[in-house]
Amino acid sequence: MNDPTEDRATGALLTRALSTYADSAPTDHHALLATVHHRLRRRRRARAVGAGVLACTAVAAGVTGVGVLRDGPIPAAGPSVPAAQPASAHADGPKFTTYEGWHWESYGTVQVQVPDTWTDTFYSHLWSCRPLVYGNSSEDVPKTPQVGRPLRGYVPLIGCPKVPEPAERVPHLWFGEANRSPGVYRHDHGWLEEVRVVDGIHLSAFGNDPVLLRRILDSAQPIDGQDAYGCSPTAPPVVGEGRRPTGPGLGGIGEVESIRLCGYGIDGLPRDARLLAGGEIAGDKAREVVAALRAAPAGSGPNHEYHCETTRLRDDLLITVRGSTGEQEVSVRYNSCNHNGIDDGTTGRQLTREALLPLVTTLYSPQLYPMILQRLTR
Amino acid sequence: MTTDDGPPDFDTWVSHRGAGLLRFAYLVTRDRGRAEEAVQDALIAAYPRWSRIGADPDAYVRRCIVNADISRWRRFFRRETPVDDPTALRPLAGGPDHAASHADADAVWQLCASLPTRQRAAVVLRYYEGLPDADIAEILGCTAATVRSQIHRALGSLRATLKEVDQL
Repeated sequence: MNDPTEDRATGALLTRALSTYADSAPTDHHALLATVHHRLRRRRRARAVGAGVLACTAVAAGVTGVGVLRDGPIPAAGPSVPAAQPASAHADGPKFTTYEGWHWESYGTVQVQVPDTWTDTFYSHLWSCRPLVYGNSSEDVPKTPQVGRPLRGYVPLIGCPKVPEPAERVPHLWFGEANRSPGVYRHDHGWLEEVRVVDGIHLSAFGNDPVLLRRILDSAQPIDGQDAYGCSPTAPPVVGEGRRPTGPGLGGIGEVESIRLCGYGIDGLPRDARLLAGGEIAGDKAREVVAALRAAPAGSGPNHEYHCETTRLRDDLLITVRGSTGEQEVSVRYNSCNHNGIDDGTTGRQLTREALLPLVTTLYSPQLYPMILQRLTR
Repeated sequence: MTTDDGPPDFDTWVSHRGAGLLRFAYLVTRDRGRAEEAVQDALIAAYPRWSRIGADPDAYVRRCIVNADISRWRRFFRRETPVDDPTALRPLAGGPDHAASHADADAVWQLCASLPTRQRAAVVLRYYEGLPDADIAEILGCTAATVRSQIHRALGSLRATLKEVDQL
């Protein structure tokens, strides 16, 4: 037979052999689903929203962009960094100078400023590996500067280059890249990476604009009490101790003005929750979100009992709604195993899509919506 | 499970297709741990795109599995897993007894390991999954002609080695 593809005997042999060995394949597809959920949950991380909202409550301060540039291992470069215009700070609590067109990103006990064009992502130590190639180019990794929190899960070690090929590089700021020692790493084509440790958190800035990288890293500071969004780096009692919020409830604070979002990740005990990011929603969007929170039906859930068997990981949002007559904390749990729901201290409510989606899309990249959204029909 | 206007529910689909995906991944990766990892990676990659994948995510997820195996391991080894010395293989032309059947299966399994990932995937999809060339092409992201070419080469390699073993 000239054409091997028509060799039925060989084909039959192949079919038998493959069928025989397929019997040795892993069979626990129930564990598969739980593991996928587990790993997806570990990828949760949050990002701070842009400085545009904060600019509305700006308080001028007097630090210039030139002033943040120091002598050091990275030489000064071209004028790619716009002149700093100290612009904004949170209206309450500590005041922070925010450069015009930049915003704060928080992680753990550290916050740092990046340009608004730097968008949220996640990363692992495999960031330098070539991404999987999909048939649809629209699914490629965006070629825009990125800010990434580390994956909170298992990633296998494989051989990868130190940096991607030049055509595939995009600037980034990684939080928690503990595999890199502090210092400056120079790469080809003018790209470099500087790693600093601030309050125990590794910050790794990568790009081909030394001045920009320097400015980003120079803006890093430990969070003293609250970050630029008013979020505490340590778990508040509502998150860490499971207490119910106090106050009049969402119905007792007058007209809604803004919402402060603080995202916490819990890998073990709730009291050890880590601040992942902060954000803020203001104006009409805030009023729409609160309307959705109020409209959610009383109760709790939906819950995933199988999560209780596989993980103690949890992601909580603690939001603070500011109204014309007061403030109200609200707990929003959407990644717990059996305590999902919304609680303003007076009424426990079930999660709804209308309430949860705008909150998570403020804090999370669109590629990483929480799984529970699929279960929410309204 | 499948809806008219969108993809099936992720959990339901994985529950229905998980076992099949694990078998497919095992035949492609030839390793239980890597198979589990490849399926997990594929599903995690597919999840954020779930609403855009369409009513039948099967081809998409299986493509992810094949790509995951290629991208993760080809860099490491640069060559595919070497096949055992063919002289160590038992003759394939045997009687209908079980021992001979197992020997055949062992031989083919080891020979499959010598194939590049895409060729092996094409062979698995045709001879284990029973898919037509057009469906295989969709999964592998190539044309049906390329699929036929891949399988042609794969079977050519298999038959040559089987013949070599047969003559020993």
